[in-house]
Amino acid sequence: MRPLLAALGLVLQAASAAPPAPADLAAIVTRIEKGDTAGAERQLRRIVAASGDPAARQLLARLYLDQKREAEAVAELRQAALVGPLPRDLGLRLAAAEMADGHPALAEQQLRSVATRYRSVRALLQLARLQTRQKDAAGALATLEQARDLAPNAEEVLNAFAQVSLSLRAPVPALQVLEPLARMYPSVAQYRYMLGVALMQAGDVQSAVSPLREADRLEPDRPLTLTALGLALNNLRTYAEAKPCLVRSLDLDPDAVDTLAALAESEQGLGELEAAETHALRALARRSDHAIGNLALGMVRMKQERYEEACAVLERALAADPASPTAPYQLSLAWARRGDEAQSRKYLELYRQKVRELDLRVAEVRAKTGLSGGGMKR
Amino acid sequence: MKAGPAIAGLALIGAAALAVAQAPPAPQVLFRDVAREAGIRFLHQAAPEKKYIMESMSGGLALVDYDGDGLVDLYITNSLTVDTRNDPNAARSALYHNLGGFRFEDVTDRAGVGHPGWAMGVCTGDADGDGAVDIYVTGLGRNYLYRNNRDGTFTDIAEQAGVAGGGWSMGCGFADYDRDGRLDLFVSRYVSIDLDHLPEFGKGGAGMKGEGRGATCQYRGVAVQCGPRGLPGESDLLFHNDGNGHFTEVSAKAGVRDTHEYYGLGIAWFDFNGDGWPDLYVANDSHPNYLYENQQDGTFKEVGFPMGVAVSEDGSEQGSMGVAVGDYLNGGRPSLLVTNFAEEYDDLFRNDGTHFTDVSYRARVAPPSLPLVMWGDAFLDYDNDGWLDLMAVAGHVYPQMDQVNTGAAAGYRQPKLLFHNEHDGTFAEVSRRYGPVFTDKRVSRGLVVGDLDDDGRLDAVVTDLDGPAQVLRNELEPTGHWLILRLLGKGGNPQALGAVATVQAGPLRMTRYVQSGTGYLSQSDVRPHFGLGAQARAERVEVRWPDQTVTRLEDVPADQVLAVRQP
Repeated sequence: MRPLLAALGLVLQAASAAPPAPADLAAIVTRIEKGDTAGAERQLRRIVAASGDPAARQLLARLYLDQKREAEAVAELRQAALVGPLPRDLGLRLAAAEMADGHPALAEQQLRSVATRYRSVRALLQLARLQTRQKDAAGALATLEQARDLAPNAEEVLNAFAQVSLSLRAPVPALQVLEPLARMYPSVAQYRYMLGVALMQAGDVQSAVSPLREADRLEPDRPLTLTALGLALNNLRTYAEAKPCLVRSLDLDPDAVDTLAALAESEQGLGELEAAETHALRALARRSDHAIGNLALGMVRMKQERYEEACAVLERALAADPASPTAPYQLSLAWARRGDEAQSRKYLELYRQKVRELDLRVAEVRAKTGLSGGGMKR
Repeated sequence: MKAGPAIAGLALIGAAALAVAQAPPAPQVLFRDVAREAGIRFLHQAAPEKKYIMESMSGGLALVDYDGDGLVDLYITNSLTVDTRNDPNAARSALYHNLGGFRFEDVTDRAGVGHPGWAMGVCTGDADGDGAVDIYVTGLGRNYLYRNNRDGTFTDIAEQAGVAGGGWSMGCGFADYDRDGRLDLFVSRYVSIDLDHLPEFGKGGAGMKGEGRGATCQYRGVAVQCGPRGLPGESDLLFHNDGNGHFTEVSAKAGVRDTHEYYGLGIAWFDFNGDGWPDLYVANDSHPNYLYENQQDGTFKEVGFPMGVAVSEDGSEQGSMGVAVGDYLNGGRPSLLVTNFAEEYDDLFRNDGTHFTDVSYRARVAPPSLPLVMWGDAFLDYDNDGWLDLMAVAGHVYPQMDQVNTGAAAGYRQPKLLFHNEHDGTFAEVSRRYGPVFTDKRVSRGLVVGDLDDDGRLDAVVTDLDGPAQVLRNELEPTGHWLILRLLGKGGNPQALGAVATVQAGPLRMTRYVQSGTGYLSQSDVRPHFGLGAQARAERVEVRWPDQTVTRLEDVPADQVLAVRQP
């Protein structure tokens, strides 16, 4: 059965729910079914011209869509939408067209209408995507919460919810959906990857390694996974394990600035200062404000006892990642070695403040997630 | 043609040959556990579930020649548990007298040193200046100062001497920090615990503070003992020796009180800047460590952060336990090895003169330590090649670890680590080379090293929370030449605590430090030991005594225990 005909039943249902039509749309549908689309179109045009009847416009739009006459269909749908709500599928179609034509506000309006009227999960998903594109991640997350209420186990909803949560650096809600997703779909590498990233964001890097390794096993040679795994292993200071992941990732994607910087971090941790310097400089040539790149280069300069240069680079690391205690700690050491006690104390105080803030963040995440690393460590 | 038995046999032989070719080499003998045959049958009091933090932290021990016969004796602490707390005799610490030839006699009861309650750590020094070495035992509730009566018995004089402390004491060490000729005493303290209001296992509650009150009573979702995070800490103590048999607690005045009340554990007195005055390092669990620089006026300045020894290289506060001091580069400067909790690495802080540098990764000490909770540690030249190697022992605090998805962390029982000094600033981890003594998994705490049979090879003793103590006799063959100095200090410091000994033997120039309080709540043999490698003589031996006078000897034959008396 052709798509248009399949939709006709819906049109008639919608029409029957709407105010009475001035013409017998059912007869027109019959004409279409018999193949007289030209006659049906003429008849519908007359009705629309005479009364602007929304049901007739919708049917006309369907006819156009079936004939791939997108612009004419959209024009009819816009007119129909001015008068009353569109059926679910046409509403979604119009929303997509508004997005494509650069009218996100109209698209959003249409999606909200469909979502409200039909409790449509698809509309909510599309609305969330639109909000994400508009950098309204918080709005997207709220929309996806509604979608979860309607379809709590729908893979697409949970996946979108997790992605948006991660983009918001909100690991707690992400973990709430990723753990069941990874359990329900154990062969999907993407869910393991996202679970690993969420755990890293939550500060439980130790637990992140296992799903990231599993993601790498399920879908080998995916640069994003390899880099995330390398970052996690760097964080755990297992630099010798991190390095091969990052080298492989860089083989696959030689210009990835995050990977270059992470590799520099591994190498400086392993005491391979020349290689670390080279990779850090390459990363910084691409993005001079890269936090890890600057930190890695700063650590290299510290080990080279080039303290003045170390201070400059570590300042950039601090500016790029103001939450991390590492850069202010190294700055306090660098200034102490340059003999400036006042500066050293200043950065030591800043370091202590960052540690306190980090402790609070970790405690907060732990309270929300129930994650616990034990009493003796952060 | 069917393959006959001969052909089938050939195939089997081939497989066997292949298997032989691929088998790992048999482990070399370095240490052999001779505890039973040596007469040391020490079993630490064990609470199986370790529901309370005090039940996981004991295990200090000391090598001390308490009777001055030239042989190193052994004292091992034992501790009560919550279930046995009302029976002071339930836990028996032990003193073993060295009879020579690796035979020991349990003299605890006669000596009267068997029941210091919740004993945790031990250090030795001549507290009362009578020329005999006394034994100080730290613990929960109070500490004990066992005065050596010079007749094989001891008397606890902690209260009279003013060093009973209180609260929960852990590390200790004697040193003459003001160089008045009398040994003073530093004591680190850990957590403030009220035995009548203990935090509930897995839940917390009473006595907890901050961090969600019970947040640290869970480990990866499993109920475990609470703390130390979330429990209030305790300040540290410095007892100044007044010279009249009494000490005065001066930590605040001296600037070492620990006003933050961090969780203090291992300590080390050592002169890090070579100015002739004892400085002090304190390992703190879950907090920055302290380095107190002696200001030469009875006070100290805390310089842990600017000197680079307070936290790890990335600024992380670590769960620090044991502290070892050694000149592993043969450069004449004492560096530090600090053991830490699992998922943290052991810190090797290289002394660069004006500051320390964390070289843990470059020196290849860090990676093997990451999965382990490490406690006792020591620099030792186990093969007498003239370069200090490293040894450290491990074991988790939570028996419940084995129910947990631990990620990269090891389980409750853990192996030991041994690192060989590669003479270039790096170490090679060689534990597996020496077999089950290292690879067997245990719940170790204290580690001391010393030559128990005066054969020139350093032996080791290890305590275990859930098993017998190990007496590890060094049977390595062949080893290099050696020299041990038995320093006879004068006045109230017969062990010459604080002395620095240097030996020049061919290309080797080695420095050793005489310390009270080493590793994790323990004390190794105070006699400086030098491996001389191929050198059959030492061209020069120099002893810088605690009062900074110097004794120099020349052309000293190797392979002897040489007594050197302070002039």
